[in-house]
Amino acid sequence: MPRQRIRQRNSPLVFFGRLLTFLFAVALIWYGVMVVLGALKVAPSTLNSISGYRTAYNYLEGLTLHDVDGGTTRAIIAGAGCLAFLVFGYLAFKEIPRPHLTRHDLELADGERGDVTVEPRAIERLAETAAQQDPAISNASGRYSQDDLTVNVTVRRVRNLAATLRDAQQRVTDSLQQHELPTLPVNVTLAGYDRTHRRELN
Amino acid sequence: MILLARALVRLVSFLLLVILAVAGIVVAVFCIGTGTSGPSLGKLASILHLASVRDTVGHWLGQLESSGSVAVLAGLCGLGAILFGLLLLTGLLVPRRERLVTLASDGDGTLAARRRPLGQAAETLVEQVRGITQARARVRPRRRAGGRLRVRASRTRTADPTQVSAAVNEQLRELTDPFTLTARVEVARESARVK
Repeated sequence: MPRQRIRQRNSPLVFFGRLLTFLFAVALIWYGVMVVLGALKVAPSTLNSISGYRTAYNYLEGLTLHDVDGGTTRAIIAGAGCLAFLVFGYLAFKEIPRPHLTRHDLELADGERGDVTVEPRAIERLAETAAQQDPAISNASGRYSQDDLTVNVTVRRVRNLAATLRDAQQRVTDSLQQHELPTLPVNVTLAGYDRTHRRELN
Repeated sequence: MILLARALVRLVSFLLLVILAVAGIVVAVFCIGTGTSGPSLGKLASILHLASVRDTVGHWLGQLESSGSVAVLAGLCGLGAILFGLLLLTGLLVPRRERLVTLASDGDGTLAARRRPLGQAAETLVEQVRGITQARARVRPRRRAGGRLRVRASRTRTADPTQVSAAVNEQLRELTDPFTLTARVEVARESARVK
């Protein structure tokens, strides 16, 4: 099983980019509908009253250099432009995906005499051993990452399946505590059913 | 489809933000001077050929508004814009289908099951019901939580279908209750004469 995983860290500021895309999508749909209605020869006055497309066009068409060439107006436009550059530029920078490897050595102590680290495989083996102590679990494989510890289990009995998964999670958590390792979320996933033990007697 | 829409949303979000940022700094730079020469708004308008754009858009709107036959090209462009907008909304609002059926998720971690072993577990449970000879089960996770469990089972000729269905549903409660699955059970009479 390939144990290394790449995860992507998303900034909460991505929300604002999505909000902008949402508004863009709604505008596309709205004005797309207007264009279709226009193509079907709906009265232009009706379309303009509900979308304002002609009003907006007439306003922009009527703008002259004199309207925007004043000192105060240019200062306001320049300020708004700089602000837009800073805000949207920062949000665009936050949109760039930042993948990272999740499986690293766990550093327990960093002192003058040296470092104490635990390799990921040791933690995974610990979790696998703990999970396999449950009699209903025939196989387990762990995958340690910075954020959590995932244990994929294969069961040999389907009775009390939910309880089996809960029990495996508890066993792994207890085992981490017992070995004085930092507790982290333990994800238990049913990844297989051992069908050689398919027949169960009630 | 959802993956494509989500990728498109990411791309469009990034492009929109970059376009707005670049437009902002360009406008700010062209506010330095006045008139129509140097870094001025008049010069920017001439670089972007805004007069030509104004005439083109005005002509196009005039054509669209004039009486006559249906403007096919404009209609198609409008439909394309609607479809593109809907695709973006789909990528924004529709969550990706889960590959796992979640049992519980909290600060201690997540308990979940893959589709195939959960289906196999359901088959084993159903085949334990008296009167059932064979069962096939498929699990389909929902987009938010839980999932659907579809079971097709064969019964013996002598078994009562109502009782068998009730027994199967009862047997499946061991999976459907904790995993929030909606079971759909089809029990048919076994077709083969001898096995």
